[in-house]
Amino acid sequence: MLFNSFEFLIFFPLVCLVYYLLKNNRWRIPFLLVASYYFYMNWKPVYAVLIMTSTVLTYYCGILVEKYADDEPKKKAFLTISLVLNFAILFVFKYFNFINDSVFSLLEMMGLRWNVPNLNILLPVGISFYTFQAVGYSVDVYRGTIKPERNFVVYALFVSFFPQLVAGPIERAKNLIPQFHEEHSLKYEDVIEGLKLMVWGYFMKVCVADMISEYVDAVYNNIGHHNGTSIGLATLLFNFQSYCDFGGYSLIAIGAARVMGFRLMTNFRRPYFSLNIDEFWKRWHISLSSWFLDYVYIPLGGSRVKYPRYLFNLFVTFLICGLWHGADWSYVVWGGVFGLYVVIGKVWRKFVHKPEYKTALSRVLSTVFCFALLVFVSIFFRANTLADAFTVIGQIATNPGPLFVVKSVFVYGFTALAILCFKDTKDEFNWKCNFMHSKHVAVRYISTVLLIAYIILFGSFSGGQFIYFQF
Amino acid sequence: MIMKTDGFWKKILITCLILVGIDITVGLVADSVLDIMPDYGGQLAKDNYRLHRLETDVVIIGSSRGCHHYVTQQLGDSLDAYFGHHTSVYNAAIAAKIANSNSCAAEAIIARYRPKLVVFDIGEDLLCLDDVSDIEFSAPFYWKDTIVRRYLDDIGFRERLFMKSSLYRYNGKLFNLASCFLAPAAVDDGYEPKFGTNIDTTVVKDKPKVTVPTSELDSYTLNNFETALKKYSSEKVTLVVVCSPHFRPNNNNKRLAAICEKYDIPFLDFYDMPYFNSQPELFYDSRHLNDKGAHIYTAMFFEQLKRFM
Repeated sequence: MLFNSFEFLIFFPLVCLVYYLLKNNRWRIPFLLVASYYFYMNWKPVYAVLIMTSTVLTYYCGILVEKYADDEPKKKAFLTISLVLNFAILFVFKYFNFINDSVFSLLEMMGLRWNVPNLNILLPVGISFYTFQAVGYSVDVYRGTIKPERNFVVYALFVSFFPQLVAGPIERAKNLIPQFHEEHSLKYEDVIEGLKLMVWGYFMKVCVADMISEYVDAVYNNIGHHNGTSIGLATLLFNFQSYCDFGGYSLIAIGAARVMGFRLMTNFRRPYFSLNIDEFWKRWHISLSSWFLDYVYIPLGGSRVKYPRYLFNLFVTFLICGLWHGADWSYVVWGGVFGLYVVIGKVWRKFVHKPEYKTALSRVLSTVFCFALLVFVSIFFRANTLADAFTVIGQIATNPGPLFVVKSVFVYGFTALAILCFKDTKDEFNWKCNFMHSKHVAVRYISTVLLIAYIILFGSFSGGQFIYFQF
Repeated sequence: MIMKTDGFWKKILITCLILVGIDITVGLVADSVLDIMPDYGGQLAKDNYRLHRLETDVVIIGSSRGCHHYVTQQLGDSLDAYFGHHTSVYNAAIAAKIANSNSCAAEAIIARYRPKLVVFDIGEDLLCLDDVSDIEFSAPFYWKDTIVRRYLDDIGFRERLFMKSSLYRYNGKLFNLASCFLAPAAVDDGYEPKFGTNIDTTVVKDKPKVTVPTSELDSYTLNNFETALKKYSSEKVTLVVVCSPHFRPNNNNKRLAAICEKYDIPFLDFYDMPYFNSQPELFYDSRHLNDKGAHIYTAMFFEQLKRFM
């Protein structure tokens, strides 16, 4: 079920209504679990088995890890079982065909034969998200950061909570599980704040991302028919599309949870205002970058190792992050380029010059430079293949020409983009002008209603998928 | 249910009332603009014209292939010479308006007057698409036009419900509405020529001919198409279904031909013509003839059309 579908428009209010009508958590939590599985099973019911498998596995391993807390080898063994089986499921469903094809190509180059057939399976929606969430729980229990959850229903809900099940934010057990034990009464502030977040999320998705995607898709799916100028603009726009698509989804998820009284972690904080790539990853997909920090980078040694090893740790973390995004070499290159950006940035700041961003001009220039780097790397993310990505770079560099224009996209998409830029700039610099959160009642009402009207009047309702669903 | 309401429901009600007020206001303003919209200047104006005002002797309906393939002036001259008196022709085909929108237009035309001939340019592939965006484009006419209303209502409950909102009916169309008044006057009675070619002749000549597997016909689209054919058949108004040339034909029109035969409607199949698909210079792209190709095709089409006049 998509957040921008008619079904969700019926499903969500119904779930909220029943949730608040139920007396206490004894009924509410099982009800939310059933609702979450129903939400997920709308795609391909059989894949619910995978979530259940991951849930059962991590639940029991968590309990066993605690049981053998004093027996390190056994404790480690149960953690290993949990991690290996979870990643095995992820590997089979997401990476098997990619690895198989890569091995085939490699051996073919060496004149050898490789006859293992590809698996004819669809990628289960959100598998990377819920696997990471469950794995994070296992590691936290092993590290003793949290106690294992004894209530299976609560734990199952933690893994499958519908607002963040398919595309995050990837929640931490210590933040979400305690909230499932609290009784949430219907609070006006929660409902209104949640709804406002959802409205802004929908604006980002249907008015900006889906509108812009018409242009980006038209260009990127026919690279051979477009010149460098059009491809360049499409690449630039893709950055806003991906931000609004995923940022919009996150806001809807956070808002939907908030309506029911749950607080999910912030996932995006105006990422394009970043002064450098380091800062970008503290603002973009925060739940994922902090996951990689806690469960990959730090176990690798983090920064408490020799300097070259520290740089290596950073690079490897980004490489894995790229692979997490998709089973294709273009994602690996995407992660690798990000890794290089970060490593070069660190070396530059240590040995050459450490910018202090004291003047407004230096901050603007750094922001623009950082954005230019992001636009470049996004080519590898959006291009259909790695070969296409290099074609795109070649076209942008060597083949300028008249701009391909889609009038409706330019009119509606750019207007929505201007609204988004104004809002993000206002929030970034704490301008004292509020609309949906104004202290004046009339301004609050009118701005909220106008935004809803704008979404209905100018949004794209062609049922665009969320980009991050494929991960 | 424990709740600190703080006038929660009252506030929700006020929000909804303001939204309804905006919805009604936008509807009233946009509907009145629709009434004074010119007959040319963009797709919405052309759609309005063909649904509500068009009264020519010969009408061509179809998608982009229709509007780029039939040279209205040339066809009119040929018909004038054939009949010995003036025959008015209008190319009412609109780009991206596929089967449902055209079935609706065909019904709207016959409900309003009796043209001498209606040409319906369509391919079997368009009957397989479960895309309703083309008929949704006519949503501004929902209350004004009972045929459009029936088509939109038949899509399903969601559409029936959403159509009650003016904001939704005009979703993505205010620009089309405004552009009608800014666009230059239309020339050549609806024909929209394409010039030059985008086909790389060095590449395509070596490409083998491919046949894509046939898809299921979409039930909603098929039902609308058959309803339109049935009406023309029972009203005894001449309708000719045509599939114009394609540069790289990859399928056939057997099922489309069978449907036409069922309602005793003539079907002219130019889809896979060696004369055309051996000459890339007659095409703008693989699906659309350029102006040169359109002139040749219109002449060829007219020769075949004589059989039905």
